Amino acid sequence: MRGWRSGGIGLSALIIALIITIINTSAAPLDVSIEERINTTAEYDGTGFSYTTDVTGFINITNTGSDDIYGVWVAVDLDNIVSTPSKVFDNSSSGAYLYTSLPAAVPDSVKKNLNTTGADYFIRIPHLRPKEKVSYFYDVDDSALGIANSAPFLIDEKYNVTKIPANKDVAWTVYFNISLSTSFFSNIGIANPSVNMNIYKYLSNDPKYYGSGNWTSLGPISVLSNNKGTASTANGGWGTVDPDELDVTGIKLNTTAPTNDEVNITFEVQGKNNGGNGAVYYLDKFGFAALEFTFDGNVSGAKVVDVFAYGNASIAVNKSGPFKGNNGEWTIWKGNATVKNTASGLTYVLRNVTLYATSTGSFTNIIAGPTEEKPNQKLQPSSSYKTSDIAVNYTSVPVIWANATFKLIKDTGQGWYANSTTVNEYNATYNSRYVVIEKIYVIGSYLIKVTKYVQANASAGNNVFDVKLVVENLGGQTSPYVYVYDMIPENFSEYDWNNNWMDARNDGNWIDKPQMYAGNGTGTPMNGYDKAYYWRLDPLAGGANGDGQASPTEIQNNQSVIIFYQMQGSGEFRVLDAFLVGIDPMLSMNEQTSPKITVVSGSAASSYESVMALLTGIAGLVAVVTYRKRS
Amino acid sequence: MMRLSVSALLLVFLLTSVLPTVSAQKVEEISDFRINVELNGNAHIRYDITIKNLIDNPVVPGIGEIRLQKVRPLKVGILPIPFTERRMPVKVENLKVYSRDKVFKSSVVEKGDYTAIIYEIWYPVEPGKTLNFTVEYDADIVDSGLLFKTVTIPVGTDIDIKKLEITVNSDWNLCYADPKPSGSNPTWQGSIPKGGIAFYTAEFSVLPLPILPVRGYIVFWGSLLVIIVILAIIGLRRK
Repeated sequence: MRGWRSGGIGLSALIIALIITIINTSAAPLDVSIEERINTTAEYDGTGFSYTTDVTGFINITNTGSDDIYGVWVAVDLDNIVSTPSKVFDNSSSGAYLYTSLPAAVPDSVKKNLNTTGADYFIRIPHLRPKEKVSYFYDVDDSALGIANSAPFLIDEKYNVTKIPANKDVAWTVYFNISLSTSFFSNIGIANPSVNMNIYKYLSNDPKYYGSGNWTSLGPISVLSNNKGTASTANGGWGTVDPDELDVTGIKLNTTAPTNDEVNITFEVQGKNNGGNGAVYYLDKFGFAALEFTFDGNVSGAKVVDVFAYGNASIAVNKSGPFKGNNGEWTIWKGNATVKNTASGLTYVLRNVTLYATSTGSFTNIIAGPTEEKPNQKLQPSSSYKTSDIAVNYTSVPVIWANATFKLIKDTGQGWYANSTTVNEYNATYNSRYVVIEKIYVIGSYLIKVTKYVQANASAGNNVFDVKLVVENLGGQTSPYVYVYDMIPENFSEYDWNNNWMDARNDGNWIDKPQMYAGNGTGTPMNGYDKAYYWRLDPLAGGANGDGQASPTEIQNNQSVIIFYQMQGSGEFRVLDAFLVGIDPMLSMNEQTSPKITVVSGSAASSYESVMALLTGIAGLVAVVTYRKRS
Repeated sequence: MMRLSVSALLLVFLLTSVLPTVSAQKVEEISDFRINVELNGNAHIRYDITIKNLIDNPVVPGIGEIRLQKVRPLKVGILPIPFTERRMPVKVENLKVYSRDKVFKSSVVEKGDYTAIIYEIWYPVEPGKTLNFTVEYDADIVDSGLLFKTVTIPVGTDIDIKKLEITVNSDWNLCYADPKPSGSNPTWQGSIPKGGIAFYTAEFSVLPLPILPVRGYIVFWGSLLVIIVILAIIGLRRK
């Protein structure tokens, strides 16, 4: 099974590699991604699931293209984070730097071309070669966002039995439901979530992996059914009988139709629990489910406000002259600039080109210009832009200068692009840290089950029905006194009763075995019923097989008891109404078991008035005696 | 309104010794629990309890139990010794458990250091519906002094109490209540979760004292003691 686990990891790695490949092929040359990861533990507490969620995020800046990229500035808006982001990966040529505001030394060419509205962090990477990447990590303030105890996916898990007996190989059906938490998505501003999900359900008797060592046998998983995705079983490695893993992959959840927001999975689990060293009952773990998912958008509201960057380009200045001026002197010089995109896969937008001339001896002595052109024109790879000429009237030979400001366009094909996704926190062993811990009640002491049979008895008379209540103790210990209650529907009457329950199998009312009978009584029935009866049985010994049949051996061993009576219908009777039975005490397989309600009260004394009164009296007496002696 | 006290530990064992419901879902809850205590002579206590069926099948409440215990300090003669305690059963008389015209079987059993009122209700409660019944009894739970009498009532159950109301009445004057009451006679409202326990204290005095922020007997006897000491000192100096 462990071998399969390695295979599973290999398959997962392949899938991840494929996803990365897909991302790479579709990502912009300068890819800026915000990826948030959800780490959630959903644990069953006996009545429902409680959630603990921790969200972290990464800002990934990757050169996925084939051109060098320079002067990268990324302005991000991170409102709901705990502390300053930290750099966790950097293989860039120049290193990367984080600022909380745009430094004053940043040139105007950047400031004017970088939108900083709402940005609170600025990442600078002077040089990012192809395949180089920089990642910053941040921790989302889950409490401030109100998500620390909620989750994007709500779990509902029910079983066909509410509890199982210890020391018995039993099977139970699990009804596993996962639905989108509309309130969670609404809180994070995602109105119409679209989620891709895979579910990996593992049985486990390993306490290190959300299991319990009380399971001497656990598995297989069988009888699968699911309304979304593709289900298959596998050998997970933490159960004892294969297959102990259930995978449901390819699930798509959204809110476009009423039933699209949930997935229902049903399967059967077999197991044998040793009873936890004789505990009366306990909620025991039997495994977990790991949810692997992805959806667009993020939890914290993080945004990439803007990106400034550029790649390879050339700028050439053409100077010509001198030309004869109006004054007849040869003092006119002309110059222009050509800006060319020399990158192979990047497109720029050319913001401005400035031309000016200085004297030869002093480059700060501007003798003409500056003259600025604002083309705001796209420059595809290999394309160029040529400015118009500037004229310089200078008796000597001038130096003509040109500079240009251009930035990478926002484009998935030849520019920068930002995207945002949320995924599960990854776990190498079981794929995801979105974990659902599953538990079931195990009864280590006694466990009573009542099965009711109603069957027509044609030989006894018209409309005569045999009613048989089979009471079993599936547990390992002797039960307390057992109360079984039952009601006879309207239009039925007792048939062939002699009100003696000790004469087993002789008439229309008896208990087998009679020695277990400890009394009976009547109550007031609810609407639709004419009679209400209850029977008190002596404590039942444990060990019945729970098959709803009372074998002679089980009856002999006081493990099972049969309560039998006959009733006869008249008029418009409804046999269906007879399928109702109840039981007390509480450790019962029957849902309608009523717990024994215990109220605690009394009194606690907290007055020391008599002590205070005595002290006062003594003080008064002493004062009077002393006063008299002194006087 | 409800206060969970550290001193609740004194009686928590009564709850912890009860097995909580073993069920994947809640079967029943006490949707309404009204306690009325009349403190004239012996305490007369009345519980009006409403049990609600929370599941889709009928439920028969069956056997229920009310455990009563007194916690008192040890005494030398009539004097209590501070910081000591002993637990004892409550003497219960004139027990009645009924619902309108129905009288339910009930009994009182002393079990070591507590008293158990056991009742049986073999009437089904339909899904989502409720069953009301009343428990009445007289009990020696009053802590009586010379000029003051006090009752401290703990309340707890092994299922949720959604709405709890406790009223304590006496022909004496209310001079202290904890938690703070809303009227001249203490009436407290709140709720108690499954397994929780809360304490409610009311002190009455034969003296016409107002409602005080601390126990009345301490204020009265403490003041008297201080006055006597001051008068004695003044008297002795004049001599």
